[in-house]
This record gives sequence, structure tokens and C-alpha cells, in this order.
Amino acid sequence: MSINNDKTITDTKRRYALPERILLNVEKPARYTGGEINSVMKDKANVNVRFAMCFPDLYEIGMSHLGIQILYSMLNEREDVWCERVYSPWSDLEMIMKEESIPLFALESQDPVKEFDFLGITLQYEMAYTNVLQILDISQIPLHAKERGEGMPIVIGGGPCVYNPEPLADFFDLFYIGEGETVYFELLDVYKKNRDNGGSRKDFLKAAAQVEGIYVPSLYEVAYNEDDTIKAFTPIEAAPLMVKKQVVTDLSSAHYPMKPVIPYVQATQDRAVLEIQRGCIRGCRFCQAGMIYRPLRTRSLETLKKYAKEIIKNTGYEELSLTSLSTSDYPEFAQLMDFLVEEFKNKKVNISLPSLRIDEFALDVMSKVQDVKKSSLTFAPEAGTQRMRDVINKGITIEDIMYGSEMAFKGGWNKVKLYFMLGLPTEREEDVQGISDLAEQIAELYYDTVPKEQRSGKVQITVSTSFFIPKPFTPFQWEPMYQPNVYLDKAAYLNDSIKAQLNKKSIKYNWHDAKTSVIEGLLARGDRRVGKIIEAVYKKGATFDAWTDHFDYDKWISAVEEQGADVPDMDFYVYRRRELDEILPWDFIDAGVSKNFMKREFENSKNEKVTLNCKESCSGCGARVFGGGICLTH
Amino acid sequence: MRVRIKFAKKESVKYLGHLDIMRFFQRCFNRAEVKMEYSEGYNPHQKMSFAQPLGVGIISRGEYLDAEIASGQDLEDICRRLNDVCGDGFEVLNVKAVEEGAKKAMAALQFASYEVDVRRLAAVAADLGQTDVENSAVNLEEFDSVVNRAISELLSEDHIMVSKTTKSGTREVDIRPQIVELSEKDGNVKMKVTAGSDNNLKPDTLLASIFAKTDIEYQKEKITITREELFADGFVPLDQFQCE
Ligand code: SF4
Repeated sequence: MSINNDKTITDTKRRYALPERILLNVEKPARYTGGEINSVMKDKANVNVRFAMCFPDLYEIGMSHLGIQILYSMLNEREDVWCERVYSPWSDLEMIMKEESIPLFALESQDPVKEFDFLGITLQYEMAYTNVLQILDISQIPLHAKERGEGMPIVIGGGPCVYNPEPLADFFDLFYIGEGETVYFELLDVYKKNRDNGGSRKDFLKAAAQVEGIYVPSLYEVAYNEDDTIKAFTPIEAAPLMVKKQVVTDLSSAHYPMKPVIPYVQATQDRAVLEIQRGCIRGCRFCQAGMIYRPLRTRSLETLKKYAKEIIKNTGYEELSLTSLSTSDYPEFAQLMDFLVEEFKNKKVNISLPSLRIDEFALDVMSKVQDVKKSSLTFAPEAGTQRMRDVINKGITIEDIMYGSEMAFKGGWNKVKLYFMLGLPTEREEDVQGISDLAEQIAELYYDTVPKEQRSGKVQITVSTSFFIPKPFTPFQWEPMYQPNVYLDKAAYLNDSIKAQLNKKSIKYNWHDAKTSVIEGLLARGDRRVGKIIEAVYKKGATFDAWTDHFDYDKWISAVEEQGADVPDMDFYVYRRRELDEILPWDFIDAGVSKNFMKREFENSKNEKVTLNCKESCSGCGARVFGGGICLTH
Repeated sequence: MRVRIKFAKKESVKYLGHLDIMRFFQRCFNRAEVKMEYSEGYNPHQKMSFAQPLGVGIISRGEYLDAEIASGQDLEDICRRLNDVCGDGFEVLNVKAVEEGAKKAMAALQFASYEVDVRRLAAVAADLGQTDVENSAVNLEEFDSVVNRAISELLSEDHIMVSKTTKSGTREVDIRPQIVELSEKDGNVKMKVTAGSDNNLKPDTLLASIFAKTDIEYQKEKITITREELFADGFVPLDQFQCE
């Protein structure tokens, strides 16, 4: 071989944190080697701030997340900052890293995370909390914020779970409440200034607390009543009384990644993503996302057209997925779809449309972008009776569902997925029965609508139920949960009822794990003391709790029971009805949407009274203070 | 029209698996805006096939894939555009038109040549642990003579039986007829062996057989395998076989 050839083969040889003998012995080593197309390399000598951005789950899951791609590309636009990515090592590698004491590293530079200025961890779901501890642990960063010395990274949490950050308060130096596009640069400037002035870690935390949207848990003291509820939540050292959620007012001008990192290893969501709007007008009373992302803000049609073309060109993806909470509420949805269908027809780019409300137009669009025979239609009535749907403010009627199904069947679809919740507030037996009846009605509708000779086999109806989990910043935040066996009884009742229907062979039923649901409930509404439980369960070896085969309920329950007197139990956190005047752990967060609105909505739910959506009328939720989005139309 | 694309898979992407590489090229064609031919049906796929999957951990300067593209495109330009979008880890070496009615690379494939850097095994043998072999003073002369003796011994045998594990269980195969050329010098083993779907000899298997004849412990993670070239009948490299 000539010398020239030798040069081509050894490209800028990447240095890996893991030696070859480990890389060749773990599942999918490319999860850990970085170097993906569009990943950002910088010279660490030329940057001032090194930021490790972490999604505390497997690479394939984390790489599917849009939020990280946005922040990654935004932070890297700054010349003085190098933002890199970190994911949870899978169990096979975790074991080796612990045994050999190899510190967790960032993908780009392969440098240990503990050498960074910041470790940002996105908190997307509660069941990842033990993974957060795992990340800190194998990074060799002390679990408790108060034990971190001057040289250690500032650990910062973000994402939807920070609307109640308290269970994780001990483990984080600070939390960023709200949308990342707004004050990150300001925060980094505060950090640089403090360092240039020779300030300490504590000095930085105090200064950071003055940045709007930043919550520094160590600057707040919590006192408890005899009955374990919160007596007082008090800021110290001039930290603000309320921390205000950060909101992008003009989404069209907000940063958006035109060159997202393209993973080599197949991600769970292996496609280009276009976020068309943020927030939701609907106001379903169980839905946290629908409240915390208020108000609804849209990206302009022109912006979306431009982004769609550019992202597809830069990534080469063969699929573009539109994301938002309720896609068909996008004001110019028809124009957007016409454009996308036309633009990508010859480029063989598929358009995928999650969370569509099914109506004539939606079906027409879907028949253009999907294979009718293979795809299924999804309805989320969430509850089986109109009364129950009124309680949760799910503005969908039986007529909507039947009409949508009929249109769908006429259009050639024969697979329908239906999503419901069990254990909703005020739920009665007839509401559970209603789910089964609704599925049966849809099945019958199919056989009435589609003549025998046009049927391609049986209609396939899949009913899925999850158990209702009350979340902070929803009108149901005061509601109790049921014990797991009660949930399972409900699921069993529904299962029996479906099995008794005429068309039982056309209806499949799946339900979620009840034990996972109550633990999620514990973490969602816990206070600071719950941190002890999370730490205890992590020390028992719990990680990847979001993965059904990893979740170990008994570990959790014994961790709760071991805590003794200073940490309340499941009855207190999960199965108890909270009083309306109780201080809730997340009351210090100003999410725009007011507590009074929640109370009003809670009342409305008891009276089975529907509240109009933001397009129809403003119900004065409080999000108007942000001065943007749909509120401006009223 | 069908084109044959020769590419290199370098160090920085050596941990990618075959499926990852397939997906990667699909998107490279899109990014480079190559006009591709697609399969029929509702979910059309680019028509492409690889000569031979390359395992995780192996690098190569002789990989091939055949793709169906719309005719009338400048192949040199396609080669340039692919290189613009494929990052540092891959390099497209050439793009050639395949003759009408020619076999696909996968079917034409008969032999493969590999070069295997085994100097780190020499370092281990010399009890130098994980010493950086580039700069260490490992005595390769003695190592060479040991390995060469093992190779001669191996090649003088009529049958070399190794057990091969497949989906349907473990069976004994004779790899002697699969070896075309085998030599070693300065800690580099060069081999030319049969390749393809039903007569494939993995370099790893052959190396294990060589070192089994020595006192040197064979450790898979201490060698670097480079696939040099893939050949059709008559040892014609695939980019010169039925290509224009
Ligand atoms: S203030 Fe009114 S329009 Fe704005 S989000 Fe709240 S309810 Fe909707």
C-alpha cells in the first residue's frame, strides 16, 4: 500500500474516552463515540464556557428530543461556548465504568463531564430521576449540590418536570424554569463575569438567582407543619419570592436548528422535526403540558416553509414530522399541508402528523401522506362518557368521534386506536363501561358503513388506557390517586366488559402499569423530602425506571418505608386529597397560569362545566402577562 | 442506470454497524441531491445494495455499494458532492457506471484482501502491556519469525478445521481452501481470502488459527483489521469488474 493511501484511512483520529477493548464489548458502541454529521467540534483552548447538555436516558431516546437540538445549536452559535452532548450509558457499560472508575464523558470532546463548567440535565419525565443520579454518580460529581466544590460543574435542570423541581432540589445547583431560548445567554454571561471577578461558586448562585426564571434551591428554606404539609417556603439572601417562567413571545424569530445532529445509530424518532407551534388552546384539565406551555404561539407559515426545505436538505431525512400539542389547531394548517405535500412529493419525503383531530380535512390530508391500508387513525377521547369528558374539559363529543370514524372507514382505514384514562376524578362504573361501549359502537359503525365486499378483513380497534396521574399546574393538582390494585380492578372490569361485547374479536385492549403510575405520582407532586427516597432507591440499584423491564416497584416502596419520621409516606404524597389552601411545593413558580384559574377550573370540573378554548374565548387564565401568542387576539 | 460506488470507512466511524452505514448512505444521497431510482409501492426505497457488510470495529479502503440512479448525471460530480456531505469518517473513492446486465457487486464478489496490524500483540508478547506501539522498541524480528513459522505450518496442512457458529448451530468447517494468500511482515498480516455470502472467511477466524500455533495470546481487541479490497472472479477489483 502506498503512503498516500495510509493517509486517507486514518482520518483525524478521534480520541475515545473508552478503550477499544470496552467499545468492542458493549452493545452499539457508536452510542458513545460521537462524531456524527452536524455535531459541533471546537478547540477547547478557544472557548470560555464548556457546557455538557444531558438527556438522562439512552442515546437513541435522547437523540430524538428536539429541545436538546435547539439548545445545542443555540449555545454553539456563541463563539465563547462549546456545548456537547451526554446520554446515559446503557447498563452493560455502566457496570464497566463503575468497576473501572471511568468518569462519564461528553460525546464531542470525550472529556470527563466533571471538568465542564455546566452540566445541564433535561427533565422530561419523572421516571428518569434515578437516571439523573446515575449521571451525577458516574460523572464522579457529588450527588448533593451542597457538597460540590469550586471546580465542579454547575448542575442545572430544565424541561417540563421543573414545574415541580422540589424532589430533585438537593441534587441541582439551579433550575431553569421555562423555555431555554430566553435567558441562557444571560446566565452564561453572569457566570463569566463572576469568574472574571474571582467570585466563588456561592457568589455565582446568588447572582444567578437574580436572573429571571432561574431557581436556586439552596437559597430557599422550607418549614413544615405538624401534619407534614408545608408551613413556609422562604427565600434567603435576596432570592426572589416567585420565580417567573420564561416564555418565547415571538416563536418565528426564536432560534431553530437548521442543521440538527444526525445520529449514526438509529434514534427512536429517526426523522426531521418541525415544531409548528408551542402551547395549546384546549385546556384539558388533566394535561400539564396544556397549562405550562400557555399561551399558544405559532411559527409563521413562511418561516415553516423555509425551515422545512432547509432542514430536509441539510439532513437528507426521508421523513418530516410536524410537532406540537394539537397540530390541527395551527391557523394555516391547510396551506402548510398543501405546501409540504407539493414540495416533497418528488423528493420522496413522507410527512408525519401526530396529534391531529380527526375531521374531514384531516382525513383528506392523511390520505395524501399515508398508506391508508397500513396506517391507523388515532383518537384520544380520554374518557368514555360525555359527563366524564366534560369533567376533564375534553371538548370532543360522541358525534365528533362517530363522524370522524365514519369518514375514516369510508376513506379506507380499518385500524383505529383509542386512548383513554382510568381513575379520573369523579369516575364511576358507568364511565369505565362507557369506554367499552364506545369501542363497540365504533366497531359496529364499521360494519354498517363498509359493505362486505369492500372490507379488507375485520376492523381493528385498539383501546389503550393509562392511569390518571395528577400533575402540578393543572386543575386536578389537589386530587388523590388510587392504590395500584384499585387501578387494576378498573382495568380488569374494562377488560371483562370489552370481552362481553358483540365485536370483542375486533377490539384489543392494553393498559399501563399501575405501580409505575403511583411512583410517577409520588415524584410529580413530591416536596424536597422526596429527594431522600430517590437517593435511597438509586442506592438500591434502580435506574432506567421508565423502561418497564427495569422498573422495580418493591425497591421504591421499601425506599419509602425506610425513611422514618422525617419523610412522609405514599399516603401523604399520593393517596391524599390536598386542601385548596395548602401551600404546594411548586407554589413559588409563576407559570403565568394562576392558582385562581386552577381553582376555578377545579370548581368547573366538579360542576361538569366545559370551559371554552382560547380561540373561542379567553377565560383569563393569567398567561396574558407574557404579552404574546393567542392572548393578543382577544 | 446502475453505478458502483467505492468508499473508505475510516477510523472515526469504525464502530458503526452495517445497518447504520446503509442508513447513512441513504441520507448522503439525499443531502448530495443525487437523483435516485426508487422501488415501487407506497413506501418507496432507494435501490441500493452493498457488496458485503463490514463488521463493527473494522475499517476499510475498499467498500462497495451499487445504486440505481436516474441517468444523465455526471458521475464525477456525484462523487464530489457525496464527499462534501459524508463527513470525515467516510470517503467516496470513485463512482463508476456498471455495464448493462452486469452482476450486482454482492453477486460478483469472490475474494477480499485484508491487512491486519498485529503489532500490539507483539507488544503484549514482549510483556510491554498496552505500550504505544508506534513509539516503542518492540523487537518485531523475533515476533515475525514466530508468526511466519506458524503461517508456514498452517499453510502446509491439507485441512484447517475450525468450528463455526451459525443460526442453525455449530459445525466444523475446513478453512484451508478459503485461504488464497497469507503472509506477515513487520507485525502486519496480509491475507487474501474467499468472500461472499456462502464462502466467507473472516480475518478474525484465520488470525485465531495462526496464533493458536504460537505461544502468543490472541486478543481480538488488540488488532486493527483493514479491509483493503474486494474482488470479483480472477481477482479483478470490483470497480474494474463489468464497470465502464
Ligand atoms: S389568557 Fe386567555 S387567551 Fe391567553 S392563554 Fe389564558 S385563557 Fe388563553
